Amino acid sequence: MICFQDVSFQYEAQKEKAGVTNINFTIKPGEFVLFCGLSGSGKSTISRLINGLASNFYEGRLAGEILLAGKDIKNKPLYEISQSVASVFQNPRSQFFATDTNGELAFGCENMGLPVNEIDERVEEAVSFFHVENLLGRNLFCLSGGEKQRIACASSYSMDPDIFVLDEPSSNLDYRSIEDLKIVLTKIKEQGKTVVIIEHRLYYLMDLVDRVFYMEDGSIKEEFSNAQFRRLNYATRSKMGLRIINFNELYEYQGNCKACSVSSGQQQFELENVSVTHKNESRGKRKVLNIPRLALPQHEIIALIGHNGAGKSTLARTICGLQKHAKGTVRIERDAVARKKRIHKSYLVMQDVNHQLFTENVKEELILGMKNPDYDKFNQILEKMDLSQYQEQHPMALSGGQKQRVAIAAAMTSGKEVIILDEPTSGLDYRQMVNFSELLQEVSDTSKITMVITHDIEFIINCCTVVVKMEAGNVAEVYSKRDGTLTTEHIIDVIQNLEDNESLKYRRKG
Amino acid sequence: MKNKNRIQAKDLITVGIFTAIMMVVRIISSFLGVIPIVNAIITVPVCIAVGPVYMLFLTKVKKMWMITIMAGITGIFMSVFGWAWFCAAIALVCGLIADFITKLGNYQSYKLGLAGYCVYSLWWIAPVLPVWFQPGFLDNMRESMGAEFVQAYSTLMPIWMLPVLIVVTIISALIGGLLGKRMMKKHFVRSGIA
Amino acid sequence: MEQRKEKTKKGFWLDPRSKLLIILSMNGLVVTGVENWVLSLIVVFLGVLLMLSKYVRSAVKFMLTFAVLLFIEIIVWHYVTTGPMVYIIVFTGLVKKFIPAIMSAMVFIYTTTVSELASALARMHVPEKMILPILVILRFFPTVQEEWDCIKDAMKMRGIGNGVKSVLSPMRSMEYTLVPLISTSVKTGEELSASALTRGLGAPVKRTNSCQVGFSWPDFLVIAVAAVFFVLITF
Repeated sequence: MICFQDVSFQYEAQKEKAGVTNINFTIKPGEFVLFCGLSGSGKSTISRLINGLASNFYEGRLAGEILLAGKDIKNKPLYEISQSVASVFQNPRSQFFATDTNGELAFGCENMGLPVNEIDERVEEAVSFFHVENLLGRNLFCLSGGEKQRIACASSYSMDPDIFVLDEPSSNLDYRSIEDLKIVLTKIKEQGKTVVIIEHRLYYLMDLVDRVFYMEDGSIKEEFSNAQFRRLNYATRSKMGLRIINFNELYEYQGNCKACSVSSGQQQFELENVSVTHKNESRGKRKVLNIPRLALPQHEIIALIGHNGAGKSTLARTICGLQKHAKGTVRIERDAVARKKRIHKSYLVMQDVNHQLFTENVKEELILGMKNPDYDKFNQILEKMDLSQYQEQHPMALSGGQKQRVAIAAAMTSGKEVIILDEPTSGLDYRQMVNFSELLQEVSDTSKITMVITHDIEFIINCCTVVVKMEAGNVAEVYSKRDGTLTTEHIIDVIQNLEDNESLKYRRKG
Repeated sequence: MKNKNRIQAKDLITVGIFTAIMMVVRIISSFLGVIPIVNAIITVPVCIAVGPVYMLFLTKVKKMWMITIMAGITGIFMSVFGWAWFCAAIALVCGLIADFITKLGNYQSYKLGLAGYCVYSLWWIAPVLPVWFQPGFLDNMRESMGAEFVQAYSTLMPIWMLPVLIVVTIISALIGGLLGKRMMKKHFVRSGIA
Repeated sequence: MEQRKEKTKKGFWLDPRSKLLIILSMNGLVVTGVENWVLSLIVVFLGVLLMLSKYVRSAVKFMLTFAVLLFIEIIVWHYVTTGPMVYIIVFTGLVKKFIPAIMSAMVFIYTTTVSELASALARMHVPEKMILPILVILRFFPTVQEEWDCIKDAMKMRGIGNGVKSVLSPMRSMEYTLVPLISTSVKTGEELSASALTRGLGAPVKRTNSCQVGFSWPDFLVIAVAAVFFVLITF
């Protein structure tokens, strides 16, 4: 079905993703293939070569032959390729052309110029196939990440392609949404479609993949069948920079969680009667955040978990002072701190890093935050974050994972008291995630509060010492290593059961 | 085979995106710039702020008509919001001329692109033209805005103001273009956006 | 299919063309003289439309602003007849006339989806080359709004862009503001482009617009009211 013969592709603009060299493989119709590897190994480029973006959209030099169903697609225009290849991307927000779900579902077919009744038929089929009836007629901006990905898949499906290419589709999704995605992918596979998926998160794919290609430095280093891949032991895979393939492996984690060296059970960061009411335009008033009391220990790494919409981001923003209409008091070591002051004392690293990079090179970016530049610390942070060689480069020219590291490094150089990070590990491979955890542990010694909003179980087990679970705007539970409530089993169980009503309904239809 | 000179969907999307960004920058840099009469004075910060966006847009423009469509749509949007309809026509014409000028350099020359931007920016003066050229306009304004306002306005806007406005706009556009060039070098080229 | 149509039509719905007509009828407002009572009626009408579309808070905000400006113009005007204050009052008088235009724009942007607009524009025989950029603009606005909010927050965190420092060096502040905004917008635009193209946009066939649009009684009502206003404004 897909055949690459001696394919090489180099982007014209150096700043783009890594190119690839000497790619050779054949994928049979109906196969489910995974491409994995470290960031920058060229995985995304493979997906772009298959769906035609690589030479038609992103300029570069293409050598070799790419055959889809026996035909060379090198000179074919994108709209022709799109009839056989469907693409689902990482970022739900910029994937959609329409603003409502119905429009999006019909988009592909409309572009093909099909008559209206045929479009309606196809869309209806896709909707019932993916069980997205409850999402019809909704505003796309109001959907959760998982719901958006389901719509994206359904929209592509209605074009009736033979091949599906997905580039890190689980990136912004929580555990439940990933389960839903797995159901969707299973159905696609059952239909006999060929699937090529690029991923860091491997565990949800183990029942689906037929073959795994491991990439390094732009070429395919190794190829495994499903069985062979499973036989690799955990240590080997970690060295390859890959994440876990099932949750049992989490028990092998020694966890680099050091017992907190700067013991500070007494000093606390408190929230009292904190609430945020959202006067949503179409849904009326509702309390998005309601916390009568929450006490967070200082100098520990706190993980903030919860289903989508549970109020995690709102809580983070409230603590940082960004949430304008928050009521209640926030105390740092017994002193109430007003909102504007909290902004000065806090640093929030947001999910989309592009909004936070302001200067013309990485060095400037990190210095921007430092009040009194301490160059030793500065260099140390650069090294730990694997950024030393990028010092003079423009932050926007770096890859996604690199940008994330720059933003995190800037948080660290700022030396602020409260540091909160929103999904910092979503684009990081295993090695980077471990480095990041180590660095975070150093940070937690100096900053008072270090909090991370995350879905990443491996990361939590690796270095978090306190876990705060949120549900519908309330703090449901707090687990801590200190008092023994935070164990690996417990966390796995909690993460797997984070649920909100919407996804529960979807799962029941199954 | 693709016809490299025909406008493709990708180009149209680019036009849409940059038109949107320019409108947003305009709104941010001159909240008052929407008021047709007052806006003549506000052209300065607007032209300067929009400069970098336009220059960036130029790096993506390699074909005819993109600038014209951009100008046309901007003109239509502004007209729909209360600017007189002839303004849209002037916008289209300015855009067309800018397109031609830029095309002369094959869309590669910075200087010609800058010249195009200056011409394009001139359409911002369009709403003020009725003050001098349309009989009865001032009377109309007197009705809607009050006599004192018209008095004050007329003293500010004698006929010789027109060339002054043109010159001020062109200078602002030049500054905007230069700022754009600096930003391009410093940021956009190095980050790969250009 | 029935399900799909049903879901989109529930609640108050106007054809995009009616909304466009509303905006157009407000067109003359800016440069012609209009009595305050007419203006107030228009603002109330638009406020009602916004509220019917479930944007109560915005409706209230706009109407309140208008009321305040009106108050300044009418009441304060009586007491201040000379000096620089006059210019300020004349100015607020000007601004209040923009509220209807902005409100009608909001009604349009908040309630029209990209696919509805596409269908409406196609029916109006707008050339395809112009439809696409217009759709992109409509699609872009909410995204840009979100991004701008995030950037503002990030700037607060970093301590740039506000306070004395930024006023003293406006160029630098502008740089800090513009660069991330432009960069993220362009990047988002690129991703949007790539995604749309991999779904066949740009094929040399006539695009179908499957979104159903059409006039129904709310549209006729609204158009009638808009026509009345137009007449009142122009004559």
